[in-house]
Amino acid sequence: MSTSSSSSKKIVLKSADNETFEIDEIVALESQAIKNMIEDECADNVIPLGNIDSKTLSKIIEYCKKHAESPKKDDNADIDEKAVEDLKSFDAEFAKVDMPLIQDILMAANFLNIDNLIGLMCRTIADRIKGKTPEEIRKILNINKNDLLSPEQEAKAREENSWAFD
Amino acid sequence: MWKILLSLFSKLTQRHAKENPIPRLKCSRDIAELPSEPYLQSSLDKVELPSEACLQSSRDNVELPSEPCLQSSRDMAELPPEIIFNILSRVPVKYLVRSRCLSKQFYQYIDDSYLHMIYNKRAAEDPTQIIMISQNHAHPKQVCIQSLHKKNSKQGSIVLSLKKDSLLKLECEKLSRVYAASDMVRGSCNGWLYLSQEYYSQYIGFILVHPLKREYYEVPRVWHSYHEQFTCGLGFDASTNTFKMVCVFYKKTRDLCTMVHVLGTGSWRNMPQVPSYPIEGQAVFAQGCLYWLTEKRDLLMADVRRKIAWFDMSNEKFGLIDSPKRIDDDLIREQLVDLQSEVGYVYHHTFRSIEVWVLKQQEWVMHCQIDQKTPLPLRSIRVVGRLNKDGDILITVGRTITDARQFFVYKVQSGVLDEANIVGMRDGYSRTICMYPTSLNSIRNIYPSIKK
Repeated sequence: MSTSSSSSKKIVLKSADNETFEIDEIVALESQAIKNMIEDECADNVIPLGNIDSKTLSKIIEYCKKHAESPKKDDNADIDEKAVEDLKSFDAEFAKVDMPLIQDILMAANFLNIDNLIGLMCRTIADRIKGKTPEEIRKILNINKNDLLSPEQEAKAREENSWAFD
Repeated sequence: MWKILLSLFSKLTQRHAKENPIPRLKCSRDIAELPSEPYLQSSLDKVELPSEACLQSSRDNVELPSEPCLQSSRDMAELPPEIIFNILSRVPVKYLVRSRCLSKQFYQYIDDSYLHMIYNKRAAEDPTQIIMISQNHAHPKQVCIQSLHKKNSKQGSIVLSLKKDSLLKLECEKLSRVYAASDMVRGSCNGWLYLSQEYYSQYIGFILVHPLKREYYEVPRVWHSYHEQFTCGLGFDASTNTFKMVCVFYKKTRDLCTMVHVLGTGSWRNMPQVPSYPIEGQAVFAQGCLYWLTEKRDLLMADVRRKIAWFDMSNEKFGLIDSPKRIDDDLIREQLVDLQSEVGYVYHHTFRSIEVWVLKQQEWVMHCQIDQKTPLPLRSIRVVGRLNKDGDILITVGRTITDARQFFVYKVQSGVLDEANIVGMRDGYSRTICMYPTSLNSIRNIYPSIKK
């Protein structure tokens, strides 16, 4: 599966800030939404993604490229273990980004319907919550101050599950 | 017709855009239902986009900090609920419960039954916790509950290491007859382990312990004379959100008597219904019912299959099902086992094999057949449960069936049986093993009156 073969079809994605990205069709197909558009022949040469900025989009393309290049599980029964490991470490490295970008990627991946990427981002956020106090979790997730429980309600919620606060 | 569809659709997308800044592109099913070309137009051009916010964030983060910024700039509440549920379903129970007090919205998310559904599904896919209940011979009244962690060593062998800090320590002072811990443990249901204790051969008491919540509940004692045998089980009735303890007593004369205790109430009630056969052994709770083996009868007739009695927790009725049709006709011992919310049935064919069956939609399906060969000893083998989503099976071998000295893991996919190395276990203890699946049901506060 070469990425730069001249015969492969190209797709152009256009970000909110009007930057264009030319990618192989196979990379774009990682997005179920784009795949559906192409299958239904409703995609022009340029697909405008007016709600995704170029920074987020380039991250997403980086992810899709890597995943499109890697052998799929159902290709053959004995997949190369090294390739699996390689993809795992790529994912781990990919997720080392700050929270605002994670959220941007998550929203965009949800929009483009890229299941693996949604899973990766959700797992990353979940991992960042683990081992934290409620105050820390609130900071990480940037919980709106207007939505806090009243002190009484919060005390009750803590009391009900006191074991979780040891 | 087209126009109507189009205008409807653009209204839909507009409304959606107000709720979520970035709507999700519809999946293939939806696209198929809609004219394809206008779809692209409306979904991509007509939606108002928060381009300013996006640009803002990209300007702010032109250079990535070496340490990821841990704080979000956006409110989590902007994310669509399915994404929040997706995140929460990956958080361990403990931190999930902590997150209840984060905000009003999270309080609702975490009590949402949809989250419970997907969480329990995912939890069933994760490795199940293994816990050990042990008793020091020098202090037989002290019962200690610890968790065992499964790891793979670099050589590929399986290592079970005992966590030093106990989850819970119990002092059973009132015991008249001190049992081995392995005989006290009667089973588990939704996070609660239940142990029985006899008082001067006239009463039976049960204690329920929740190792995770470190809670303890004592069931009122129930009278029984020493020549009566009894079998019990704890189940959860989802229709009333209550736990019920069921006890069946029988005398030598074969008269049966059923007693039920609803947790949180002060008494037992006598029930008119009894199982069709005397029941025995540990109960397995699965899919709203308790299951027991019935007493072995007609042992010599090979074609007579043993029955399994069940008790429906919500309508409180007993029933019977047949055991699976076994492959081997060798001498056998049978066992019911909890295979992570499914009932398992085990045939131990001495010298030959172990057959593990699982009940799926009222039908017995063969889960695996394990050859009886070295390193597996011949005696006192117990199938403890299912270890992970692959369906690998944990087996213990001890001095008695419930006693655990040696541990084996059978990998269903490869058909390989490995002995696990044990780390951190001391001699001089009697011990038994339980699989301990944590579900969100197990941490819901159904009985606020239950205290440590």
